[in-house]
Amino acid sequence: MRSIIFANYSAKDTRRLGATMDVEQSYVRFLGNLILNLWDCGGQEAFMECYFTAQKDNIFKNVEVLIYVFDVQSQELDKDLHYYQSCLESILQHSSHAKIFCLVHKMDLISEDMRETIFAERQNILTDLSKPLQCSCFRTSIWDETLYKAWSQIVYQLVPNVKGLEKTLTNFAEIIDADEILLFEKATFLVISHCTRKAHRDPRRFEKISDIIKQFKLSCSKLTAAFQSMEVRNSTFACFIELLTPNTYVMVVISDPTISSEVTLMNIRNARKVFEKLEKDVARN
Amino acid sequence: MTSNSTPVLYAIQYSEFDIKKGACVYYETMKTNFSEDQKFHWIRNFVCPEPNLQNKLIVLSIENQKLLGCPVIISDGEKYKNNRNEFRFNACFIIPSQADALKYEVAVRKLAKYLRTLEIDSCFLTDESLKKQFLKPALDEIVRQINDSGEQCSVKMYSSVFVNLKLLEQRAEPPPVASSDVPMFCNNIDLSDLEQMDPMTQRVIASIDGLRHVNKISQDTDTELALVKAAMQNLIYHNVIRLVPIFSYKNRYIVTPKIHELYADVNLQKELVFFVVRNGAKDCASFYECFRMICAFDHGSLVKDVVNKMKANNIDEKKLVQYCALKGYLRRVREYRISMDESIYMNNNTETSNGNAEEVEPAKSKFKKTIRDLCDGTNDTDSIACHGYIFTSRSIPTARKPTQQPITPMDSYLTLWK
Repeated sequence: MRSIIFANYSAKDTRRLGATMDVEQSYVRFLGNLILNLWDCGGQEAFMECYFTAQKDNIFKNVEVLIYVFDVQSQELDKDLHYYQSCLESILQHSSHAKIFCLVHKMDLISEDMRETIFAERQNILTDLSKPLQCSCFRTSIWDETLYKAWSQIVYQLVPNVKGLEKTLTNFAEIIDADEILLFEKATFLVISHCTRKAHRDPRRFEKISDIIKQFKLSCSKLTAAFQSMEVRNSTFACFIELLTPNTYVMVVISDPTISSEVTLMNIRNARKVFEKLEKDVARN
Repeated sequence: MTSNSTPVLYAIQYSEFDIKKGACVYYETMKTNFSEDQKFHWIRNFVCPEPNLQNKLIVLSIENQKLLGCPVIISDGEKYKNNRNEFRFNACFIIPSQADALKYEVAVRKLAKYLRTLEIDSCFLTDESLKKQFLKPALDEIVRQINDSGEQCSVKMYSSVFVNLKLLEQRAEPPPVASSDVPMFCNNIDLSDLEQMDPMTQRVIASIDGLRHVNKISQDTDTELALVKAAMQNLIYHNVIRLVPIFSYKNRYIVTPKIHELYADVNLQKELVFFVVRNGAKDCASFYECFRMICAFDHGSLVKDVVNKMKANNIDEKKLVQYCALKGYLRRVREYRISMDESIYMNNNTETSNGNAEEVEPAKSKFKKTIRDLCDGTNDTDSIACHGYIFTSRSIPTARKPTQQPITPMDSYLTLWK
């Protein structure tokens, strides 16, 4: 997951990866001035035993987000849940304010009709087990957009001044009469903010877009071309994906056919200054 | 190795990295300090470590045992598709902690290499049946053979693959060999192995009799001096010979404290008595007589004085003196002539100022200078005598006394004995 979201691997590329040995730390630049310190902990029994004993202080202190990944195909659910509980205990002890996410992973190996039920079942078990802490559960797979939904939510927790961003986006949407505006982080293409003025029937559209654009970016890079912007237009809507600030992309959806492309593009260009200033203010604080 | 001393190799512990359980011990030939779960837990990250540490020798100690490992990681996306693309293992040696780890390093690395090749070629380690059938008994046999012989093993691992390991003894650099040194055997060598020795050693080995010095050997066998010296160094390294001073009746020797060993050990005494008996004598001398003669060398007495005083007919004084020098019971007191002529200590200056001298003159003055230069306190009379051979004559000479050397007016000098 780490290599897909943060290192531009395609799902197929991950097949080449070896097992994570003990704890692998990496530093990821996010939104320009945010540095995410990711601790990827290997899941072998030998390592797990160690995390809750010798390395407990080291691993569980100063944690902002705990992401626990369950293999949906694992035959030893009890053991997995036992380890999860140990994790929660350690978190409660050292970083009780941390946000907890549970990802039920490898869902592609379950047949489609069973997915919702199995996930719902698992979600109940985990929410119960996590009390008094709260956890958010997602079902994921590297082969579809569910991965992006989970990680968008995770990263959303970490974006500074997310409310201010949303307010500005809403303003912007009103002014240019857009149906929907999405804000993406530039490197990972995770949705960090959005404003919806007109309801849409597909609740999974955000992650689908993340997935599609990311794949497109990867293909572009294979041809050593850099992705810059995109315009999709048909009789019912027009959609513009443009660079907004040095660290974010914006997607504007307009369904009024009378508004020409040039107008929207000009609006976006002018809005840039506002968002850039917003970003700078946040950085200074 | 006798059974009551510590074994050379306690055990071999073979571990693999399992993608569910992590690093775990697959098989060990014997329980050691590293077998218990808790203890293994502490070291598992060094037994099957991250890629940075692969193929490096890793040494860990717990109490009185040391573990030496060389972790191997084989990456193959195709073959190990179901094993996260890698296969990791480590065959570790467990040795007494006072043993020198470097002695085993070559063997540990070699075993890792053998197992790695076997795995790549025939999936030896990933095939359960092969592993159980061949690896376990082979590891047991390796430990057994190394402990029996003390240093090596030759074990059949699988079909035509034999694992040959040898523990290398770390020995000190042999000292430089001077032309006036006499090599003497200190350990037996099997002469039937003669053909396996290098040609140089074969040539000189017959000349080693405890009386001939290196220069003489080189002349007797008609070989270049530098090569003879190299051959001697080689034999010293393998602990076959040791160097003793040239024997001469005018040599001075002095007794050393090591004489106590001889006094206390009956076996050493017997060895001495048998060695020093004169050729053709009816009986061996008694140990009392030999010991008395050795102790007569107090305050650096001359050999000829001691022989005259003792009058022991059954004892060959040459053999006695050389034997005691070899064993360390007697120490040679060497004579150093030190020239008081200051010019040799300032020879740099004089050379530069003689830039315009004639052809003949410089040669002669060089000769003069060199002999005098030798008397600067670093060369004893033996070495100077050896140099004398080179300068004065081409025919086979005998030992020249320093006073007989045609040295042009040697200025004042003093003699130092040490």
